Amino acid sequence: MKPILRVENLTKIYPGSGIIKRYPVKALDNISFTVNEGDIFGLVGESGSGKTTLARCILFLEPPTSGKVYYGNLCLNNVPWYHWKKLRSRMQIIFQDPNSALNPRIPIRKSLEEGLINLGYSKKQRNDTIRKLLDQVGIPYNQVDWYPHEFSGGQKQRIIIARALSMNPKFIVLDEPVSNLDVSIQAGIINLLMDLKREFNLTYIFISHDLDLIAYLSTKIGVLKGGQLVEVGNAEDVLTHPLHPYTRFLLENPLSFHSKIQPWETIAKETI
Amino acid sequence: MLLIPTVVFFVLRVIPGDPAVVIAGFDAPPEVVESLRAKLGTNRPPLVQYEEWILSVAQLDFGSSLISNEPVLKLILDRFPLTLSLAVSGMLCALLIAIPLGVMSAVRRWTLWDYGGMLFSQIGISLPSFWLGIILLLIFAVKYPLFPLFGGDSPWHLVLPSLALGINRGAVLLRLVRTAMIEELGKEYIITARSKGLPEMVVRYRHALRNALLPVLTIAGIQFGYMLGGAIVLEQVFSLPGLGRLILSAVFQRDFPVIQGGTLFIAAVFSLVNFLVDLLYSLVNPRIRVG
Amino acid sequence: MGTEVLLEIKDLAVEFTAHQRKIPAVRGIDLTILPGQFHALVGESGAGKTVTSLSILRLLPSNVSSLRGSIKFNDHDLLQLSEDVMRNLRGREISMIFQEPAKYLNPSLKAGFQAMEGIRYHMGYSEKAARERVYELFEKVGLSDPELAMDRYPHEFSVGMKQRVMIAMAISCNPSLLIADEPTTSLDVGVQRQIIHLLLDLQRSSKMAILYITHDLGIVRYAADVISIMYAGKIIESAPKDVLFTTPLHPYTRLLLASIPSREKRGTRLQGIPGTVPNPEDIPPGCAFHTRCPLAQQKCKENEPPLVRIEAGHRCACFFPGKEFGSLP
Repeated sequence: MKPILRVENLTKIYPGSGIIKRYPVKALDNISFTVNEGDIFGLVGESGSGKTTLARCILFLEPPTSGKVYYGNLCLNNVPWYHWKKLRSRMQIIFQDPNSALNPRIPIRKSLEEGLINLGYSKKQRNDTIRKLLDQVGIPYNQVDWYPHEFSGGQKQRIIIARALSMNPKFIVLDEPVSNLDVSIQAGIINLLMDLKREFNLTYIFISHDLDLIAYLSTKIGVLKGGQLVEVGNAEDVLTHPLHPYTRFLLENPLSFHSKIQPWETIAKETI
Repeated sequence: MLLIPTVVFFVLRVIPGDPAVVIAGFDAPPEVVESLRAKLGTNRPPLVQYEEWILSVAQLDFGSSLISNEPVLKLILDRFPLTLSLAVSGMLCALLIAIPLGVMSAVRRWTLWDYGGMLFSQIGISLPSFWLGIILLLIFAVKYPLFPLFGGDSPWHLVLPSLALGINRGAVLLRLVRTAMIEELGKEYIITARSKGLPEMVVRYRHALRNALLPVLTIAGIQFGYMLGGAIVLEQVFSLPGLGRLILSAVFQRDFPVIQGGTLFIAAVFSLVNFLVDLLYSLVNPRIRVG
Repeated sequence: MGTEVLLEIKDLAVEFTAHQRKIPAVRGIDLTILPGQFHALVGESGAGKTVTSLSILRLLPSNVSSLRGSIKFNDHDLLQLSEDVMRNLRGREISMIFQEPAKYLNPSLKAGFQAMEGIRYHMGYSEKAARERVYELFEKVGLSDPELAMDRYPHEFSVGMKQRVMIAMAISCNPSLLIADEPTTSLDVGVQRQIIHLLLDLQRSSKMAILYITHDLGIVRYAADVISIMYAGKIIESAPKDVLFTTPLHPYTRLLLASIPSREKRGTRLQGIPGTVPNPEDIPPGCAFHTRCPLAQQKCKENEPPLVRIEAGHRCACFFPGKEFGSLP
């Protein structure tokens, strides 16, 4: 069980806008956790909890204000700029909105090729790789020259997953990857992500506001509230014996489909 | 604000034309001209003259007219109110034309109203205001003498020039009103307003127009500065004794202090207007006001 | 029958024209709402739920090319009424609240003013009386410091408070039907719970029926009395909540209910629905669901199954309702 990602005392403060009074915003407050190889680390957070900021800081898309991030034994804070190109391919990120993540003006083939060209693949290698990837995510190869708008939301997200995979990553950060998709499509994408994880031995950091989803697929769970990691631990532990009141609050949600809480007592009992 | 008068200052020194000559007369012997120049101070190097002028302006002393010897500031302030009233009434005219027609256009898109409004706008933009001014004079002052030909004593004198200004600027604002209204009417809060069962008039004017006017007023405010410029030309056409005419005649007579003072004044007013527009916008737009 | 009906939609079909193409958003639906009932209209994107809701109040955009069917409200067909009469109904007998309250409130008018508009127009209140009423309403919907709230602009409120303002506005004239179009989507869990409870309290205290449009089955489980499921512009199943959850008949309903992840499903594969949700522009022939249905037969490709009554209150549009998956070739 070796740790693949270690976050230590990560803090991110935004200086705040305003000419006269500046209100700095502490988006992340002293966050620490470890993700082992093969984990699915489920991060639960609502709006304003700092989850997207955390996603960006882990991958150093934004520098943290203080704290360290370790990828294996390598401290990411100290990596010089010329090493980042190679390093980035190992750590991929998938965002919530499939519409804005793909360049609408180029066919998906070109979107998929970009990373491969950077890695120095030849044309034949690229074509082979793309063919395999599209097959893996369930997109017919004969649609490789189509434009993004010709695909549905779910299909676009699959293409984006294929693109992330093309870089041979070790771990992938997924920031609400299915929240914008229809319910009947979400299951398919989740299944795909689980299959790919098994096949390529990936590690996931899965961020979502949907606790049911996190409860379904995580091996480890972290609960984010107001920039603080209020609870973290093995999934089973957190789900069975939640320690923090906020975690309990989220778990005891009557609006969850599988909740054991009795539905609202209705007054309109007649039917026709 | 300082840039323009400085530019004007040096341009004046460079272009041909010497105030001393104008005063003395074109046939005057060179010694007379020379002595006049010494008296006026125009024979000194330009930079020195500039320094002196800037210093005096800072103390609000704009100097005196080379021709009439009256203090420049007094000349300006005597005539400015007229120019200002012309600009203001021109702007009012423009808004009175633009808003109703713009709203009609937006609400009845692709109908006669809309095409008519667009046509009017197109024509209005292409007709320069001074040309309009002349036409209006010809029709309403000469052929059917309803309005006076020149002078600036009564409000009656301002009607035709305001119209000339208003039609031109109004045509531009009309398009803006139309676009802004169309955009607002497509917004979601309009659906809410309709779902409350409010009469369509209320939806249009109380809800949509209120938001549509925000960008329109900003542009109108900026346009006001240009109105002042337009007023200057129109003053010539309508023989109105305003600031514009003052500067124009000063140019012909090479009356440097008046020209400098006049342009500086206008530049200052323009900046002030822009500043006030910003202030007004922040007062009117509730989102900016609080933050 | 004995039970009075509040709203009865029969064979409603709405078609739009866009880019020179005809787009059938709603293709013939029947829906009944009883007084005081919480009726959930469930469907994914493009199913036609929002178009249905806008049709009731006749708030559809101008590119509607055809509208057929009847919407009977207290025995008057809303589609036949004049615009003046409709305006009388809107905000008074039938009100609506929307998703994203930030967009659906006028940014330049104070919250109190917007809430007073309906009362002043429909009930003729003076400004003073209206203000008092709005104060009460703001209290009722749970806005702390209603006095202050009335003079605030929408952008000064949090999302949850904006939604409360919208609800206050909507109930101001005591409507008998409130149409709620995904009002809690994209709200935080805590706020969602508060808003849902607020609506349920209002339903209970004023006997106000709610047509609640959503794709969130969790909300439906908790709050709904009756559920209608929409797919590709048609209602494919309709039943009281308990009946629908214990014996769903339509394959789409069954697959949908089974696809929701939960803690209990850990380690198992999720059951999704293959294929994509159809666009109104590209609806498959016959039964619109046949391209994704595990029970699809030749019959399903050629004919559209009608919505038939299976038992009391339970209707389903399928040729093989309730059949085991895998029992047909």
